[in-house]
Amino acid sequence: MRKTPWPVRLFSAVANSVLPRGFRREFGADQRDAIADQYRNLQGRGLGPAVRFWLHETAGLLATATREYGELLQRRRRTPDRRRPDFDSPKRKPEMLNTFRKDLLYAFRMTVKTPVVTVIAIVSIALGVAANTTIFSVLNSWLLRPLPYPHADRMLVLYENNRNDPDDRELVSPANFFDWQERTSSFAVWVASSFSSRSLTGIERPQQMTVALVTPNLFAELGSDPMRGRTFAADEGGPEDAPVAVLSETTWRNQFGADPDIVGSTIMLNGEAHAVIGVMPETFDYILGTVNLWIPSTFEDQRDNRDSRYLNVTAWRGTDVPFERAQAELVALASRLEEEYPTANENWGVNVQTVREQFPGRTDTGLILVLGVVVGMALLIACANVASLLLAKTEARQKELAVRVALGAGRGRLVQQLLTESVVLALIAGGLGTVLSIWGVGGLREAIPVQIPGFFQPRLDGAVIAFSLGLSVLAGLTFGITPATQVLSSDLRGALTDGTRSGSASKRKKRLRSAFVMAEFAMALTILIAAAVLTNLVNTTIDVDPGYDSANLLTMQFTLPQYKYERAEEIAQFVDNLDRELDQLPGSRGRAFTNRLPRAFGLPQSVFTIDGQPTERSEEPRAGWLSVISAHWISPSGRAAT
Amino acid sequence: MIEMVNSTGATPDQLLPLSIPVFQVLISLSERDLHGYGVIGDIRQRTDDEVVLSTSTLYGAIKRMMRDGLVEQSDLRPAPELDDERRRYYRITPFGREVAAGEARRVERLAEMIRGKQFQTRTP
Repeated sequence: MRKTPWPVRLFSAVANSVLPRGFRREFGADQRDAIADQYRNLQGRGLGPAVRFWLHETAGLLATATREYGELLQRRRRTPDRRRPDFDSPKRKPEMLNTFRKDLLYAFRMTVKTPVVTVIAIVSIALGVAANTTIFSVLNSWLLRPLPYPHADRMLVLYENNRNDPDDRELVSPANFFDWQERTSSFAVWVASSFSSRSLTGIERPQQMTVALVTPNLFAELGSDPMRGRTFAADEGGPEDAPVAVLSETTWRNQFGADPDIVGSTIMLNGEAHAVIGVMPETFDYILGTVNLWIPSTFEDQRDNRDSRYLNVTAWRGTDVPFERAQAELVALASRLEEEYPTANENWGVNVQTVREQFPGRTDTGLILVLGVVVGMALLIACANVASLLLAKTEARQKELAVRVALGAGRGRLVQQLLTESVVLALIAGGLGTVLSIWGVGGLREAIPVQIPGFFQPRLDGAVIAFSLGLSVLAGLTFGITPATQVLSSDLRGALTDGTRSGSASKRKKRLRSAFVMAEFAMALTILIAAAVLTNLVNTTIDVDPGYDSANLLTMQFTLPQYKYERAEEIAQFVDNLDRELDQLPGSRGRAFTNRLPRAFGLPQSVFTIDGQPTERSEEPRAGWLSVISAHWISPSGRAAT
Repeated sequence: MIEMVNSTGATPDQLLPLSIPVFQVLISLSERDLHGYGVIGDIRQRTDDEVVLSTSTLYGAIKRMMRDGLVEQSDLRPAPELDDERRRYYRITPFGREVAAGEARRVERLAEMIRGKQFQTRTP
């Protein structure tokens, strides 16, 4: 027989203490086996599914326990006098509730009675809980929260892929997109989009807009409704159709002053009139980026374009099609397309990814887990501190506790009372911690430097608040358990008669306090090391020599509307004029122009050939990021001039 | 016509509508006897992960279903080399089949009512 894994044993122990005796006697062993089977199945499938599984089991356990006890209470009401089987301690149930209420009231009184201890304890635990909640909010939004799209489990993001690098993800050429769509059967729905920049004119200040050209089914397939007007009809977006656009809520507010009559009005994009048909709410979030407005396109006019790879492609596999089959079909098709179109598709395969694989990367997850461990330890230190404080407080309450024992209170009751006090303290701290984490999460959103899709932005939701409060209760039990159990071993009778403690009890308390201090020291040291490693990592990243000195360097960006600047000479003329005018600026020491700033990513790569050196079929195509630069590029910074 | 009743005298109709876990467990057991983990796996697979029962929810449902006479413990055991002998298998009772059929008719009637209505959504 296989050994039951320890997390399963731990969970079963918790379940046994929560579920009624009759239930666990009947199903306890079976339940443990079923959990163990599922746990073994989860091995090697990553952290996300494991966390989801345990949360799901915990939620199920709590719901079932509530229901089972509810049924027991009902049965009890129906059988008023006789012995009631299957009830842990039937006579004491109402008494227990009453006792709990009394403990709670008493705990509040004690909390107010020693304000200094209370404030110190609350503030330290609140800070610990706030830090943990903040980090958990990131974990929650990156790994746990279900994706906001219908059938997200069947949603796949498809890339072309340079066969020499299995991890390579390149956008898709329109001709390949059409072939994928028409020559496969594993996928039920296809969505394509591409990004471009257009000038919005005819408003007070003309502006560059990030525009997404999308297949008209995008909004419908993502299950997203507009806040005003409508989204695209299925047959919109052909080359002959009247140009229409859907605005983002941000654009509608910032550029059009939240004009209530915006739907039906006309806007000018690159000099072409577009009718506004709708506004998408801020909450709409397509995983591939944030845009100002959407324009429908069937991409039919690009059907034969196999050389430029610029489409983002998303597809939903059919209900009965497993991931592997969909992937295999597409990989096989890519090989056939490579043979059919050797010039454009040579060495190009396909990379099929789930939505979850888009973000976060392994490094991001690793970093956030390290931070999680660090803040977890910080909370443990806070718990150890508060435990020391409560230990001293309990000692000062020896007489009071001794009186209660003399009046007939069992030691178990005293432990229960002290634990209730700790949990009340921790819950107040947890509430404060949750409030503090509002700022924490806000700060974190600002601090995360990379642009991440809005859906993955950390935020406080039900799961995060539940985590925060659960953590508080756990913290309360952690720091409360030692002082509370001290009551079991201390000489309370002695405390009542002469106010002295026995020597061995005093030694034991001393040892305990030393143990707390040592544990705190060890954890603080670990945190220090982790912090040093992280700081070093950040410094190394910052210290990478980019090849130029960024001090006193300013950058600005402009896009020339195509309809005004069609010919290369016109663009060159504009740049020359700008160059001259910038030169006149007081304090300007130099300037340069480029189409791509250093260390900027996201542009598609360009494939190139060298004159007189034709690329062999077996060879990897030559590709790279093409940077167009002006004379004096880099020289403004005082480094090597061109 | 003689109507079936369970040990408490309830007719199949009196137990309707069924909760999702109870109905799903009955569907799983309608074709073969299964143990708890088998039931969870069968439901997951059949519903494409739309219905995932926790072990507590499953055994809570089984407990109520045994009380209502919908399922019972099965004597069936696969060959010991194929399975852990300790595991208990469950099977649907004739009364349970009646209840499941009643629920199926109820759901079909419901589906009939909403067919062709505006709020039906497409699936990709």
